[in-house]
Amino acid sequence: MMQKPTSAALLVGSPKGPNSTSNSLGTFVLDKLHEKGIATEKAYLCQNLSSEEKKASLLRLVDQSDLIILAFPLYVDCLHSQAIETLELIAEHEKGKCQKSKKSFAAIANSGFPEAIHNSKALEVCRLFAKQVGFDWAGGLAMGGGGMISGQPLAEMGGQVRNQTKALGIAAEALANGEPIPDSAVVSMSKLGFPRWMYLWMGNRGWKQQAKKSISVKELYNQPCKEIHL
Amino acid sequence: MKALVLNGSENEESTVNTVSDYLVDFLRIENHKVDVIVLRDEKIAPCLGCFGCWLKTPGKCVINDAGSDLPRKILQSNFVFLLTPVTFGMYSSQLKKAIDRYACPLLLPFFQKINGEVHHAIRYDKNPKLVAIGVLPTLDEESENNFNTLVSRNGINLHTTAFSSIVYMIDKPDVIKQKVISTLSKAGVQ
Repeated sequence: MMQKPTSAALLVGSPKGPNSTSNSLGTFVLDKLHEKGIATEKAYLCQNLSSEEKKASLLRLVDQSDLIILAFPLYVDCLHSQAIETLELIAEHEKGKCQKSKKSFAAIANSGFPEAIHNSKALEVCRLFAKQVGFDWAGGLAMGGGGMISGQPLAEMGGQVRNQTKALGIAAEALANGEPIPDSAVVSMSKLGFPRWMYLWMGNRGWKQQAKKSISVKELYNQPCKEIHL
Repeated sequence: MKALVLNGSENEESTVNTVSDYLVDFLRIENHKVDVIVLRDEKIAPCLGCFGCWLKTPGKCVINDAGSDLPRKILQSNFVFLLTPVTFGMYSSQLKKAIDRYACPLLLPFFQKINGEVHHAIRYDKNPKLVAIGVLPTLDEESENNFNTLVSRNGINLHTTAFSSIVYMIDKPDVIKQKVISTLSKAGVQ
């Protein structure tokens, strides 16, 4: 049984930190929780693992929070190494505690592929983490097409992220009440705001346009290890 | 045959090292060429997520450390072995740091559909076969299932065939040895 939180921490698990889709998604939820009178704080994992002092400060934030939300991008079917390192760090920290306080853990995953299903193994990792350390699993949200957000505040993006803002709003409401994320939020979060073919077309075109700033389109296909490739 | 072993063990006492020793012994006895990288001994920075390996220096990571050499080592191999403690049903952060660094340079940024799902296209003609052996303290079906599925998903994303198996810390040395040999046989290592 989850408890109504009085404090919540957002852990942004993207190496891009403030300029990431994970930050946009997590901050949207965090702001909603703040509006409901919950004390909120945020930490960028890419900035908090470089020294023992920073790690200790990250663990203090976890200790002080009733609700922990990890927002992360998908890297090779799973969490980025820094997000995994953080989970390992928290697990080790919790193992050494004699008396554990009641905490809930939720996750928000995003992938650059249009299908949300790619995130399923990573969300299962988050659930297993919560189970192993003794946190209440508050559920996970997953979206595809994360590349279209790239650090923009969701409130300024309009209709193209309508399904995600709806989902995150529902999730924030539930989490604020000490309830797990409802299925309706999970379904809404997974829906792309425009056709899949359009996302693929825009994505493939976008790579070429971005490449043109420093190299030629032909060079995108370079094979620097071709000579030694078996 | 050439094999690259990425050892993602957390310390010297890890059972992952026992698995690595058996694996390397077997491969060398069979006259395979083996290169072992103990990842905790290497300076490998986490991936920056900058897409530099796609957009600035295609196929090569922009960070200059031991991690930027991984794609070359992988492409020189027929098999890549991933050895890791299974943490929450996935790889250790140590191993994942290496995977994050080598995966993107082996792929193109462009999208391609595989079995109805979107993935990135492959950069070279082919990637080596992937064999992952995870170590769990004891039987844990949920972690085991997630690990095995994760490895097979990695295989799809990297356009290769992937094999996985689990060793338990409570397994006797003979059992661990047998599991390693049976994994190699399953993966077609002769």
